[in-house]
Amino acid sequence: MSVELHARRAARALERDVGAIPVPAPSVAVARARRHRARTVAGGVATVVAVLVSIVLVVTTGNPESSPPAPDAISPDAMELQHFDAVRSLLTVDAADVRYDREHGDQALRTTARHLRVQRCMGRLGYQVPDLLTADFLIAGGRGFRGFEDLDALRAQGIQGRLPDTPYQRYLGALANPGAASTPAATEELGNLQACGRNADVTDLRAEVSDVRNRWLSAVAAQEDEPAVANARATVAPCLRARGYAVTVDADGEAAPVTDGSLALPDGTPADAQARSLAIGRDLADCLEPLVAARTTAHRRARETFLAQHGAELAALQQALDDLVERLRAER
Amino acid sequence: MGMAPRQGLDRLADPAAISLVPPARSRDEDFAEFFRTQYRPAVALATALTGRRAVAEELTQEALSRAYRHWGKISGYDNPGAWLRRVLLNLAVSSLRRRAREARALAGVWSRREETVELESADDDFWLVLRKLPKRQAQCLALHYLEHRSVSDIALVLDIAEPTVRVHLSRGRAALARGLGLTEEEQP
Repeated sequence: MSVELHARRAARALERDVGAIPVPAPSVAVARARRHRARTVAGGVATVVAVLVSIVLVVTTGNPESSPPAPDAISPDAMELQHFDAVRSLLTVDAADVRYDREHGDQALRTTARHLRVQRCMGRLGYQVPDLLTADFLIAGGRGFRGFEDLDALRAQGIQGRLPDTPYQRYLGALANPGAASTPAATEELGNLQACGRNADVTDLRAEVSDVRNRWLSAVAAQEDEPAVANARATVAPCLRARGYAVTVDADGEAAPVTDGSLALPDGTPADAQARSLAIGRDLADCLEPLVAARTTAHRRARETFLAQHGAELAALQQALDDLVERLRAER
Repeated sequence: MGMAPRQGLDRLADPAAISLVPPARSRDEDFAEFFRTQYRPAVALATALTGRRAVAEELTQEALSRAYRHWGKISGYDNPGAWLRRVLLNLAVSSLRRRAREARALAGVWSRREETVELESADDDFWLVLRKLPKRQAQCLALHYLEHRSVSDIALVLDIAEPTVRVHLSRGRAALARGLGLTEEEQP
């Protein structure tokens, strides 16, 4: 069979496969775009800063002793399937909710369950498999930055958001110098791992969760037009400019006012990587504070309204997720 | 490699279909049409390059979200679909890098050195082999074989020169043949 025939066959199979998936409503993308706007100025600015800084920063392995303590550091201990609060996870209002969602939300649940299934499957095949890392760390690739609502973390960790002195950091350091070379046995083991992974996915309730989350994001996005939020948002760019950052406003007038590589670092920004990260983190946190406060108030009010309108639906979803956790636990 | 007739998934992005829609639509109506016609082809392309449907859908939605954010500008382009694909391919590359880090972490649990841990590999061998090619070769081949795009189209999407596309396609096909275990005699 030629490459062309292989390609045609593979393309047809993929077309059939993808042709069967439901096309979501365009409002999904609209809600995401609004969420991007809602989640900031800060998101745009800090992401750009992070990129700029990452260009000039030397990647360090991290020195736990010299790093500032992370507030409420996440503990990457053994994986556990935990029940979680659907309201808090889906209808996030503040930094604590965002942290909660990342650590215990539905995505964390599914990822944890998936890796537990792989782990158990490998165990049945006789491999000594240590506990994997928590879902949050696998999802975030080890980076602990928890959203730009989290001003405490931004100040303490800087914009790089590395979590110091965690088992995960040490684990990644150890990976930089792997010991054993590949062997046929290791290859066989890898094949087993792949086989175990094929049946490990957990997709239950994903659509239902997404639906509620998207509606919540639309509700949150609507809060951006509230005068208190809009006024607070308008203070961010001037605040950053006052601190020496070059900031421009989005030309189309409807996205976040600061986007697209438009932020330059002020003169006198520390050259040292960590000091620079912290300095920018503190500036951003300071400038974001009024906006985050306004949003938290608005989002809390929006959550009350949302619950009044969709309380029964959320309760049903909570029950379904509880049932899912119980079922996954029973598999172990 | 000449202009191949567009078929398959690309039919969903047929400009003729768009022309049936009356003019003077609102910005959102315009975007909704773009979303509906581009969604599945984009998911297919991302699936081919990432190997994961869920990831592909996530990337597609992100790319379309970015399209919406800049719709005022993009809708004026001759080929907004090319813009979308360029964004999507960049997102796919970022996603693969992130996954590679995770895979290395997982592999390290079993004292592995360089193997790729592919936890979802139930798709066709062809795409599996394609994903192991250098990034640009894989992108060129996916656009060619999946979307039946011409060299000039691919050059437009990837923002590279046509001769470069030809080189990537040629080398990519040879690498595919080797990866699929095909002999030279089996090549057309």
